[in-house]
Amino acid sequence: MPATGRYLYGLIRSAEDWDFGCIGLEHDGKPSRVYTARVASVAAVVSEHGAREKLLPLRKNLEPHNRVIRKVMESATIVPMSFGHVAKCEDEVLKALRCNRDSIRAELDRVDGKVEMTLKVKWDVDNIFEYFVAADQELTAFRDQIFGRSQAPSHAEKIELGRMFEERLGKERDEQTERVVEAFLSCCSEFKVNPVKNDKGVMDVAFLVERGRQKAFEERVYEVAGTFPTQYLFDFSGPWAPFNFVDLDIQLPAA
Amino acid sequence: MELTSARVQCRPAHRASVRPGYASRQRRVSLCETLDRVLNKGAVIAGDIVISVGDVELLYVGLNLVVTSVETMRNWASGDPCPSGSKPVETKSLTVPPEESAVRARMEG
Repeated sequence: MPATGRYLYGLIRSAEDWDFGCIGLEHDGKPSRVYTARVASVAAVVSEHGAREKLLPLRKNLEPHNRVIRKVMESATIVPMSFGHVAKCEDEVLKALRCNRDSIRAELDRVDGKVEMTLKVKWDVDNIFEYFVAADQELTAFRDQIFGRSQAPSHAEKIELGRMFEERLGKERDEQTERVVEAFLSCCSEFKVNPVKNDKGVMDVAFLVERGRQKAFEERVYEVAGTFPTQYLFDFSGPWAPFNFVDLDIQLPAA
Repeated sequence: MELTSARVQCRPAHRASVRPGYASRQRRVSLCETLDRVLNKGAVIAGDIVISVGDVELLYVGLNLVVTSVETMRNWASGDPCPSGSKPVETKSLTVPPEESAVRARMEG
C-alpha cells in the first residue's frame, strides 16, 4: 500500500502541536483533518492527501486551501504556501522543515503579528483614452492634428499617438503610486507594488500591516481617498495572510 | 478572521464615502483576489520532496507551471527549472498562458 502523502497549507511558528479540525482538502471522500507537522518551534500545517492523487486547481480544492489559511490566521501568523504542494509522506515534510529551519524562521519573524492589506486604485471613467487626452494639451493637439485632416492618419502617426498615451499613463501611475505609498508609510512595515491588471488600473499595492494597526490603515484609506478627485476609485481588502511578502523558496538537498 | 473589503470614492462634496451597491460585488472581488494569491503567490518548494514518482512528478512540476504567474515562473527560470532527478516537463503544459489557466480554474471550479 503506498504511503499517504501530505498536503501543505503553510508554515507557522509554534512550540506545540495544533489540530485545526476537519476543514482540509478532500481525502478518502471527506474533508481531511488539518494539523501540524512540527520540528522544534517550526511547524507545517498539513493534512493527509493521496501522494499520487491528481490535484487540479479547481474551486473544490482551492477553497479549502484558502479556508485553512484563514482559519490558522485566527490564532497564528502563517507563511502561506502556494497552492498544490504535496509531499509524499510526513517525514518528507519534517525533512524540509529541518533543512530550511533558519530561512523559515527568518521569514516567520519578518511577518510575525502582521497581516496583508491590499489597495487597488483605478480610474472610474468610461473611456480612459478620452479621459487622458482631454487632460493633456499635447495629446489633444496631436490627436486633433492627425485626425483633423482630410486624409486618414498614417500607421506611424497612430503608433506615435499610442506611444505618447502609454507614456502619460505610465507616468501618471508612477506619480500617484508614489504619492499614495508615501501616505501609508507610517502605518505599514513593508509594501509591495504589483503591476496593474488593465488600462484603467492606477495601482495595486500590498501592505504588510501590524494586526493592531489595521484600523489605522483603513482610516488612512478613507483619508487618502478624500484627497483624490472623484475619478479615482479606491478598493481595499484584508486582512490576508502575507502572500505578497513571502520570499521563501524552500530548497531540499538531493536525496 | 473576517475579510473586509470596501470601495471608497471621493464624492463631489469632497468627503470620501463607501460607494453604495458595493456589497453585491464584494464576494466576487474577494474570490478573484483569493485566486490570484493562492495560485500566484506564497511559498514554493523546489526539490525532490514533492511527489517524486514517474508521471506524478510531471504532474507536480506541470501543475506548478500551469497555474503559476509570470512572476513565479521567473523564479523558476532563474533557479533550476527542473529539480534534480525529475524528467523534462512536457512543453504542452508550459505554454498555457497564466491568465488563461486562472480563468480555467475559475470555470472548472
